[in-house]
Amino acid sequence: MVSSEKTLPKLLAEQAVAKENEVALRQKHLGIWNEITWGDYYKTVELLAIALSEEYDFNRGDKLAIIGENRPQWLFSQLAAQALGGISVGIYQESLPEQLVYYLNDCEARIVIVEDQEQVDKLLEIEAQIPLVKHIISYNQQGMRNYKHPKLADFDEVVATGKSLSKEESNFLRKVVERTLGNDTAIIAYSASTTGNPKGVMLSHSNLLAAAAGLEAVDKVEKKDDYLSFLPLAWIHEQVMSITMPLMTGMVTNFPEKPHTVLADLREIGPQTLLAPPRVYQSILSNFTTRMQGASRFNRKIYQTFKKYGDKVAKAKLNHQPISSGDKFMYMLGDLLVFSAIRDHIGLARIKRAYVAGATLETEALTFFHSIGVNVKQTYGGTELAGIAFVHRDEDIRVESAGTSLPGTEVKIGEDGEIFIKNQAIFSGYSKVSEVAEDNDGWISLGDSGRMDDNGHLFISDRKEDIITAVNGERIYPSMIENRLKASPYIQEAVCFGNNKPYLTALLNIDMNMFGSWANKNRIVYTDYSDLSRNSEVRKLIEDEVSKLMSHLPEGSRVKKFVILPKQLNANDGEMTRTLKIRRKTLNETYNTLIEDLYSGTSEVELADALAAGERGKPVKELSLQVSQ
Amino acid sequence: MGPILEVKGLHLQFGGVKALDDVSYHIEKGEIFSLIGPNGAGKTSMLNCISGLYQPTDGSILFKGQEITHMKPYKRTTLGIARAFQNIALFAHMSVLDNLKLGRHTLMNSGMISGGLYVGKASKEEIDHRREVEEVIEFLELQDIRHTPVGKLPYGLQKRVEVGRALALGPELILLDEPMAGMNSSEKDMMARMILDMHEVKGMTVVLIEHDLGIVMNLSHHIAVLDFGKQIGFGTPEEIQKNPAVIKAYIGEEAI
Repeated sequence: MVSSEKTLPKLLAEQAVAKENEVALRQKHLGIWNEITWGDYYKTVELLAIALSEEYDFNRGDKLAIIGENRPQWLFSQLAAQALGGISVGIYQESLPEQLVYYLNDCEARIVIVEDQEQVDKLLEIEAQIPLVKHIISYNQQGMRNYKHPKLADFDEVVATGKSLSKEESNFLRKVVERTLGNDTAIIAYSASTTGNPKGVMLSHSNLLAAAAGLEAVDKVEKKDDYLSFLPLAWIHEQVMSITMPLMTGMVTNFPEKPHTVLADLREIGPQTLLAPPRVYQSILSNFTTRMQGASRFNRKIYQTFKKYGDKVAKAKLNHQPISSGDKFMYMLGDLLVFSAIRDHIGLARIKRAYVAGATLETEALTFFHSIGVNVKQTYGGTELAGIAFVHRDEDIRVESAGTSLPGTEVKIGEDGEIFIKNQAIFSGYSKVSEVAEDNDGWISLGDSGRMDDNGHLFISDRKEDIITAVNGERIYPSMIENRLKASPYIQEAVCFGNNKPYLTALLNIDMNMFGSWANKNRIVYTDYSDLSRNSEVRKLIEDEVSKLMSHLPEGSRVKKFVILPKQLNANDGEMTRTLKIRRKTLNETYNTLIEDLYSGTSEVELADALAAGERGKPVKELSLQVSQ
Repeated sequence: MGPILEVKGLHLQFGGVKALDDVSYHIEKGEIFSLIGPNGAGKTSMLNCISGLYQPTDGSILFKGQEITHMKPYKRTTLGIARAFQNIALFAHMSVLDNLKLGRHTLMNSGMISGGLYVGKASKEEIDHRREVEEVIEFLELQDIRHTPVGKLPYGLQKRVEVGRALALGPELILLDEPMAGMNSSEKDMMARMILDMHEVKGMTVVLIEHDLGIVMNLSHHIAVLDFGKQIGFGTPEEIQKNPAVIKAYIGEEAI
């Protein structure tokens, strides 16, 4: 175990001594992967810390907010703040101005370090509402040459100030990090709350290190391993994997060139470790399926031939069953001919493990990745636990489980199925005192319910509050039905309803990727998502898909009526969290009329006024679709 | 310092057709200058004269005070004039990166042998050129399609690559012939922002032909209006909007 006195900046100081000239970070810029060594990393953090301390009067316990894409500057800023005993607060870069008002007033940051003009504009727009913010430091100056505002500063100039103030041989950073303690709050992470306002979760250095150490004890990380950091660093999982894990193990963190180049960058880096929510794996799968449909007949034939064996081996592995040597041989041949090429194509050629975090990846997708030899592992955890607490073990996977607990993590199931967890990574409290964390003898619940089998595999059924009680009193787990629907490559998102109702209903989003190429092939002209979602042939296809998927479920758990929404659910409308989890309560409110209509006899359902307003105030009617029995 | 480009009494005649008839104006360094006018007014012919595709019948063109009226097009390129065409002039089967690199071909000096062997000065030159091209890629946000063949891209992106090919030459004066034609409004906004950045960030002089008068009036510092080869107006956007001859050409004359 990690000693409680270790902190992230202390680890940085250690790495900088041990591996001064080895690569710590890579950032693609102008088409080239620029390398930053542990020595450079340390030096920049030192200069920034000097400037923050002497010019900006940043002290122990002060908060520094960071808003931006994943870049080395993000890490420099966080570590500089922490070295001074301060707290780093990551804020999702896509937050709307009014959300920024909430975050910044909640965390009480005086200094905000941001990426670029976009963020600066947002902050200046709400300047009057965030009186506590005194300095805005940005690291990408493009388009800001004419910005003259007393609160603004250029990141590079701040670092240069640090340089001019630094004295040779003074060892500023080494001295200040000595004063940091394991119990100091290291970060405030906002939980991706699916209900209500996000809460600021305070995590100490010891919390973060305990979570990373637990995971590392299960999945050994080599110091030359590569990691691609492309999800928001404000998200606890990305935070631990991109910052804590590398500081602890020496793993190299790579930052993509731009958010839209991630897939190409993934292929160039070929990381050993990856972490993403289910949505990313689904889109890789849907991309692959689309490309396979466009492949030559010969290629498709070969893939189909070996897919059988891939599926067999994957199923055997996921269900812990033996496999015949004949199948094993065919699988090895398939691996040589097809699967290795596919892995290479999607950038997962060297992957040792790819974690699924935030939600459950449905079985079909998990099986697919295992069939092509990609070790995708489901995890379970949360912001309050500094990330992952449960993970699939390589040699002991139960499909549909969230894996077993990490070393040092205890678990118990309450009487009503609620999951309680206890370990060293549990947060110390919420940033606002008014939000008192429930003290339960060290046990916390993330609000999920589930069960454990005899070998310690945890099976999550659903959020406790989301469980649907049918009129006959039967308990239905909506996420299970939703995952079943999302198993179709044509369905991107599904949300089920039916509390105290005679049957289940659903709102669907179609998968644009799949339907885009489908429309191309069938020569169907469309303008955008809403146009395509209303196409009668699309409706027919989705109706057939849903009927087929529902036929495998018991009668009472079947979706009987549903609507294809003419808009994609998104985080800006509050329908999803920034980590793309659906917010059931908001959806229930926004689409109330529509959901009620699904329980009436009409075949036309009305979209809520708020949504219809975009279409000149006319009430918009959507066709509700029936599932054939 | 005088204007970066001066056009004096320019005439261009094809047989009996007067494509340009006594056109004179000047462009200041670092400004955004627009050429407008109805279809067939001679706007593209005017650009062709500046870039050297056409030889004017009479008159002269001065670039930074130097006579270029009868200079070969590639020589004008080395002086710092680049052009993006209205109809996309790219190699459809080559990647975005290769098309942009090809744009810089006239600026490369190494010979066939050293270039082929990639030794000495040639490799350094190649690296420098790649950096220039990469800066254009970043400027126009083309990172994700760097290696995509141009022919596979949607029209709006091809137009952006076409502008990129001209930008890759690192010109002082860039001629953009209807860079926003056929684009939807969000693509137009993006292009307008990029043109502003060329002026603000890169300090280039931009000559723009564009039909969307809203955009022209918003972006330009000076405007010249052509109608049937004749210059009927020259001045700031405000002056042009008040110019009776321009109003007549665009809206027609009120019947009395």
